[in-house]
Amino acid sequence: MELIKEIWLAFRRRPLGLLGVFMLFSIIFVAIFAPWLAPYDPDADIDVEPQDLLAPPDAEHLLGRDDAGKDVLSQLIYGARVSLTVGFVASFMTIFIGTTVGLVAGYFGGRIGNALMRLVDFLLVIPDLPLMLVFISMWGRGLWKIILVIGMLGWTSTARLVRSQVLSIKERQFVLRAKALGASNFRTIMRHIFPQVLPIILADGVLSISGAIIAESSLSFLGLGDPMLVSWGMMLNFAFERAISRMAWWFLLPPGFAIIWVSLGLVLMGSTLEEIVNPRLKTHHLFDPRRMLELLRVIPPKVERQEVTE
Amino acid sequence: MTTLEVRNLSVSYLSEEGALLNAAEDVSFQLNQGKSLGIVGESGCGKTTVMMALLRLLPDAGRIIQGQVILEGEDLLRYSEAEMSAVRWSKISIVFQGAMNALNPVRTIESQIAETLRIHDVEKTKQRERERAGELLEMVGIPPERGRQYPHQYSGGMRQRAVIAMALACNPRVIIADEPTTALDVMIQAQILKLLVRLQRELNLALIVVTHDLGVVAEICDNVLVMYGGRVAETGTGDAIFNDPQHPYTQRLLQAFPDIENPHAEMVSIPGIPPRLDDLPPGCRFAPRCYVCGDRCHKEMPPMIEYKPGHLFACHLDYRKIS
Amino acid sequence: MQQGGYLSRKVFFSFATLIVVIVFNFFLFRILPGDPVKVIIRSPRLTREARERLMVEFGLDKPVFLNIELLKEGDLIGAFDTQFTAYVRALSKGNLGISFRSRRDVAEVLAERVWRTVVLVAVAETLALLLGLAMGLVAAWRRGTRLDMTILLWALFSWAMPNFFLGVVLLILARGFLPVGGMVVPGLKPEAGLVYWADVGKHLILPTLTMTIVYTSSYVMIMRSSVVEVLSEDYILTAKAKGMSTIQILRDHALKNAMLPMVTMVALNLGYTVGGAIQVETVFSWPGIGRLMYDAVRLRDYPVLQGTFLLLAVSVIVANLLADILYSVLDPRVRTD
Repeated sequence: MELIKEIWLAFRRRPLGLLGVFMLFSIIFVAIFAPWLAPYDPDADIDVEPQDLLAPPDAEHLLGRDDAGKDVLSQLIYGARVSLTVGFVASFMTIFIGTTVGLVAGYFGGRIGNALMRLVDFLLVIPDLPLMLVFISMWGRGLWKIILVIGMLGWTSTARLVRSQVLSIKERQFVLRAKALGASNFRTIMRHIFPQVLPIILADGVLSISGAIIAESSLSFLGLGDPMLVSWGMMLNFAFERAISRMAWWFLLPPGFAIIWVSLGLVLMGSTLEEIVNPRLKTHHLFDPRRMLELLRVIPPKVERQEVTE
Repeated sequence: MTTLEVRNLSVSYLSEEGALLNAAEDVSFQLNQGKSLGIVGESGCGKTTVMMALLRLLPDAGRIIQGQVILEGEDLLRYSEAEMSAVRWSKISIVFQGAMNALNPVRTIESQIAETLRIHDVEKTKQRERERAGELLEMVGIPPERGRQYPHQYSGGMRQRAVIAMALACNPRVIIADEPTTALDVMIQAQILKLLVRLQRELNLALIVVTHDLGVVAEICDNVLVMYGGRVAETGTGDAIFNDPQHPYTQRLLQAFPDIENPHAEMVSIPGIPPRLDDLPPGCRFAPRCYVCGDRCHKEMPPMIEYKPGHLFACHLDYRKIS
Repeated sequence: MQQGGYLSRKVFFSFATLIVVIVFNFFLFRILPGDPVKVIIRSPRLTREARERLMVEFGLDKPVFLNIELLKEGDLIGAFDTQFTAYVRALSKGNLGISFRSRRDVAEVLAERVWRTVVLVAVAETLALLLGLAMGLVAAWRRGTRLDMTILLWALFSWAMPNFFLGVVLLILARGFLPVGGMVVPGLKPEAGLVYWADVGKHLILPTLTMTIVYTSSYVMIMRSSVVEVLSEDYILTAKAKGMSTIQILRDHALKNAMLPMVTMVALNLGYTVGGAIQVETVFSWPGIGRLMYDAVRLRDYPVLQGTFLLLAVSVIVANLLADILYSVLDPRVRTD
């Protein structure tokens, strides 16, 4: 699409954004090619000697072994799949709900709009993590439950963002024209308003993926992750509960840094996108005033006058 | 002594690529106490740039290339930033274009006026500062009690008057009014103009009015400076400029304005558009649009010619030779 | 009164939200699978007396919300004699139930532990606000310089880091220098006076540091963009024209305007703040409300879970309202509504 090309060109000029893209795609790569990249299969049963438990890194296990004797590096690589899946799916849900609510609230306004915004305000006031904790602990653990819980609570900021954008767009000429020509509400929204809002949604979406990944890792760390799948958060949970006293840094640190890596990459991408879509002011009034005179020539030239010859 | 004398002022802007764009070149004028000068020109002709240069308030990319700004005998361009800060507002003050936004929305009008008094040590006590702020508001026709209100509680015209009151606070020698009536409706415009005339008379102000509206200039200005493409096109007294314009641009400009005494006169517009800063013609800036220009006009910068004492304009006069 | 409109709306909304949260809290624990009611009955850890007391208190022998038959008979009072009303009644008396694990009053446990979280959060938030304000201001003032970039990158980095992981990292780094868990050295009592409090202080360092770093990041970013916007406003140019120095301008014109979005941000962040407290208290075994919630989840201590959630939700609602009030004090434009 046109939009993607434009955005890519803008990205090329921003090294931090490109760094973010690299960071994200490197993890996607790892996730996709996990079976080929991981030296061991984390699910396979292995024979372990007591000294293998929490063994420090060596030639065969670059990141050492965990409390069950399994290779940390392999778990780390496969863990990318879980974290990315949760991140992308949950944030897709978030963006979808948030955009829909925002579009409807902004476009139709009135009582529907107000009611929706009250709902948004209400959800915003309820603290997220405690509510997620309550839900999962009552409902049970599982990947889809986590995705749903994160998705159900995260859409509020997107809704607000989209709504304020729609409010400013819907009074513009081309929208009023479309409506005058008889376009239905749905058509007006989808063909005229939505494309304008899309760039902002994109920027917000990227940032929300990182939020979802961090949310999942927090829930897993606190013991509410899917016990069947080893996400980075779950690794940290095991590590914290079982390895902290031994200071097994090879088990404690890598999953966290992996989370930071992907999250930072997304944040860099997202901020760059946001800056492209919503360019920020580069200067303000309080700069160094001495520069103003740096080119001043001290000797004034002579002033010439000419008499009218007539 | 002349209150303000500007000599050969040139101001440029540094573009993103590092090139210098000449926004104003070789601008000179004089202003005496009790007199008013109107600076006229289309948008982009450099008039606001020159004003900002007088106060050294150009944006980050602005560079003063040459010239002198002599205020009561002292060249302000030689001052340090600290010295300049002391001069600002106390000697020269300015009423900005779009004065509506010139006020801080979370502070009262009174406090913003009183602030100027505090910065320049005009009054001794807070009590006196408040009183003086009240006096100033009264001078511009605003009830002093309203000083304790916030800008959003004032109408547009009131805000403009408040900003004028603020500009007068430290009894400056020179006041610059940049487009004081733009964005106001006609009735309010008339009020503001009457106010400026009255204040100038009562306080013996040296006033500079920057505008694109010749009507404003005709009403309140003793002298006129016509600018085009960053340079001075013509300068003289109001009478001279309006009754006997010499520069082709000035002539066309006057013709373009509807004349109430001659409703059937043809309204002439000037074809073309003002030059872009990165594409300035090498010769006379007006040559591309001039109806009487010759070859020389496109290549050489025209000199300032003194047509009559005090009435100057920049032209090669070739058209005189033709007729 | 001028301030009336905006504030009364906010108070009304907070009150309404409060009501909804109370109702929501009730249904949350009844509707979801893992219904604590059934669990209560089946839990072998309760004595018979406690079990019977619970059943009566929570009216477990009565319908959940509304007694339809009694309503049809016209018996209004009887119709509303339900679990829900019993819950509301108990709540109004400050009764939040009994912990499964400790068999103590939930309200009592909460009251005991709440100040520990308050101290932690209050200190961290204050430090974060001050740091965020200062760093954001400097970054915006020196827009485009390396200092600005450094501050921004630091803020982005700490924002991208999960709270609990930062805690783990600091814990590893500080091992040997600072205590890594708990509130005091076991055995030390408040009666020991200054020694006790000094020890509490030592244990407070790491958790506070963790939370401060995390909270600062969003404040820095908000302050930075807010200050840049403010500094490009016309009234700043006017201030310059008045002959004010940069410091004077920053102090008298920029600061107040730039802080307004901060107040909003603090309010918006409160839910997130609470989440951070849970994580940090877990990592450092700080015995506050956050840790209590984590333990309750682990031990399936539902009354405690419900009570803690209610407390946290109510706190955030109240804090939001306070932030709204503060905002109206700072920004005169919303007052004349």
